[in-house]
Amino acid sequence: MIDKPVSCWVEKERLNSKIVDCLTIILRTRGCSWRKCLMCGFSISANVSEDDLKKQIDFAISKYGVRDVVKIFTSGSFFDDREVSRGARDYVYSLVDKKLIVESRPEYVFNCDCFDLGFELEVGIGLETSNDFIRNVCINKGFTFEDYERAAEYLIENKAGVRTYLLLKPPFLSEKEAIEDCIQSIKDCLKYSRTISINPVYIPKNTYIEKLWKAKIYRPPWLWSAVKVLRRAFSEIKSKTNNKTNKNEVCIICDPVGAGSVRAVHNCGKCDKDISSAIRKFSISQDIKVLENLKCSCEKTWRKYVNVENTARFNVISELGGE
Amino acid sequence: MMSYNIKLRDGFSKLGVVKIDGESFQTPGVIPFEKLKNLNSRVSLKLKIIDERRFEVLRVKSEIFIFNTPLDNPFDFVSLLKDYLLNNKEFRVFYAPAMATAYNIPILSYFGMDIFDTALAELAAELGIFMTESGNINASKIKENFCHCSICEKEGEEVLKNRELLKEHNINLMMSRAKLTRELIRRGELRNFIESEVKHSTFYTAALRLFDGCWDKEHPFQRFKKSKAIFCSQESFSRSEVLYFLKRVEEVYEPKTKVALVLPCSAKKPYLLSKTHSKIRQKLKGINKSVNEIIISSPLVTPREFELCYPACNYDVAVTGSWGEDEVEFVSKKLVSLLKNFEIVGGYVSGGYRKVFERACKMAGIDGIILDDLEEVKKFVEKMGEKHFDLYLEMFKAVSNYQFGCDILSWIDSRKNKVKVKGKYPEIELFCGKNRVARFDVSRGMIDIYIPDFFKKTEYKVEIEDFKPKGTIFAAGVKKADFSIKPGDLVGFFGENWKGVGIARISGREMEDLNEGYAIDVKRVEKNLS
Repeated sequence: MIDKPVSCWVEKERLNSKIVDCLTIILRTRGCSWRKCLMCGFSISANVSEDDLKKQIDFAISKYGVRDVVKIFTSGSFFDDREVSRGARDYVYSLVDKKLIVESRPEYVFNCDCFDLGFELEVGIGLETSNDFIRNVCINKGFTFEDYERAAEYLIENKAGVRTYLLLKPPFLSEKEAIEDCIQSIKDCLKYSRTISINPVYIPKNTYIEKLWKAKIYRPPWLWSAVKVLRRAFSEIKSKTNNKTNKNEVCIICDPVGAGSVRAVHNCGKCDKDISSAIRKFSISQDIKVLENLKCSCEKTWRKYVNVENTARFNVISELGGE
Repeated sequence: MMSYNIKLRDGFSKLGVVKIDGESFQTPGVIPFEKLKNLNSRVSLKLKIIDERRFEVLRVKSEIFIFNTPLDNPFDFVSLLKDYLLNNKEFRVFYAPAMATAYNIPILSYFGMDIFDTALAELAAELGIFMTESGNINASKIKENFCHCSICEKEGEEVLKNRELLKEHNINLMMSRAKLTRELIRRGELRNFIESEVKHSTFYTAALRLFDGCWDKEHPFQRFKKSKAIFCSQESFSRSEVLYFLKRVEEVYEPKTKVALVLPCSAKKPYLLSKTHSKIRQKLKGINKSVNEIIISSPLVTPREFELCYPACNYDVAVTGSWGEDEVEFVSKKLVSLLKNFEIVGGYVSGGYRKVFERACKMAGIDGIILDDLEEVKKFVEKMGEKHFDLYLEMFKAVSNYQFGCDILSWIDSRKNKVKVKGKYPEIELFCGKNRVARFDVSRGMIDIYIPDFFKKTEYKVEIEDFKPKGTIFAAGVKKADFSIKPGDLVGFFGENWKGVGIARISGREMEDLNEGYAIDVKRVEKNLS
């Protein structure tokens, strides 16, 4: 099993304002060296050798071939030698054509060894929020905004792009606070980011956040909240980049993983499919029109929920026999 | 800014007026959510159970205590109630955010919640949910709008389709339930009411049972009450006042003889006024004072001496003649604990009563004698010698011990005075020479005391500021009060120049802690010359 990736597929990505194919591989590594985030569901895997990693990559390529963009997720840090050895990384670099996207905690960014290799590099950093209190008390992420800034500046100096991951609705935040926190975080990380990826919380099994969810004191965010954040972020980006060309614009994307499921970002059940597909369309096209005129009667419920949950701090809809 | 003025307590429920930002609201009461939405505790109380460390870091304290927990697990709910109502004595106004429905307001009030909001009424309307007194229903599934609130009266079936109207209906019903709750508190009948109300929900039934199991010296249940106790459910057996009565009687019971005659209860209270009991006493005229009578009922077991004490003096049970196994077991056990005082035990009992009698005798290791008719009862009593006692004096002795932990007869004796009982049962009074010392307050099931100094030896004394009390003593005028004092207790109060007797409206701790609101209803005042 350790010679096959967790998963791999082909999806769409933006490359210089064009939409191209992207081979996405989720590598099975020995796991993140931190592993203390409250919403993290990744457990430590068996010892995976460099050879296994190469086999995993070969498996993905034999299945889908190399595409314009290669995206490699490790559920940890790509540049952490303990997770992905130098040899395995070199193997990846040798296969990339136009663009490589990887992810890393800020402390391993300085271990990056693929600047100036002839392809574009974008490094994802799971900042989650620009608020240190929320990141460290509510998420237990273990690094500061300053750590992120330093890593981002280092990447920018070396002509790599930064993809900032923000968490929509960290534990202990009400929906209302979560929306505000996400919008504030977008403003704060805008100048460092080439892409901002909004990640609505998903509730994996056997996690801390699952306990909160089972106790009904946490509900994953509404899709409406994601839409609101995306729209606000978009206008924020527009106002900040008015004088620049389209080319340098920050992309704002959101992958509503598991949308519609009670463990993931969801609305009323009737509109989840339409809203989440609009969000995915927007992420690829960056066309704000797809997020306008979305309608469902649950939008009013959501507005009420946002207000009430801020005081109640539990899933108030479940009190009425819903969910 | 918030202030709270308690007018009356019934257990944990409080009748009062809360002032929030200059606006007054009656409690228990429903306040529009808009007016409360700035209250913020950051995290649910339930986090305390899951992660106490983070709870302490994140929880924000507020003047109004936000009791915010989902109502899904009765164990968690009751453990939080225990933490914040019982163990933590700090006085608080409790706000239950987004928890109230038309159904649960009386129940949550019983559990000590003071303030409710309209959040769920509004949210429910958005979801097409029609609130009723017994639970929520999907409005679209209702065939005929059965509600007669002002909006349903006017709009009829339209309410079921229109969200705005639905919201008004939901709020109307919640308001009316809050009013009903306040009325029940005034009448002292909230417990009777909620014992049947919880049956609509497994959650609340379980929560009530679990909550009844929580005991604390300062539990603010009323030991004496004007309202009739209705014992109709399993939960009636675990009422604080029932458990207290049974425990307290066992503690203070000192029968005069070594012979017990066990009798069945009667529908009329006090028992002595009933046809069956007066017939028995008629038969035993002249000899009945040589045995101690114990009356068995469900769930009470009452020595005759305590029959004027609440709840024995004022209760009702559903009588069908058949006793459930649980009842037999419960009552037998309670009877056993009294039988240990006796050497000879006879029982004029049949049916379920006989089952209880036989089981109790077996458990106690006593050869209980079954007496089949009044002749046999008479023969049984005649054999028992000549040890006579005055029942009414024994009643004063027993109930004063029960109520104050201090026997009024010995207190008078110690002053070398002769005592006498006057009056027609049950309105009996205790005289010392020409002075009335005490009487039975039959409406509350307790002894009323006429001499304030008696309280000095008891826990039921309150120290007040120097003023002449009239009508009511406010909490602000209380200097010191014993924490054993429960709402409804008879207390003696002492100031520098005035002393007297009154009835506590709130608990002793609250009298000390609060700066406003009623503390004691004054019954009598006199100059303090000591």
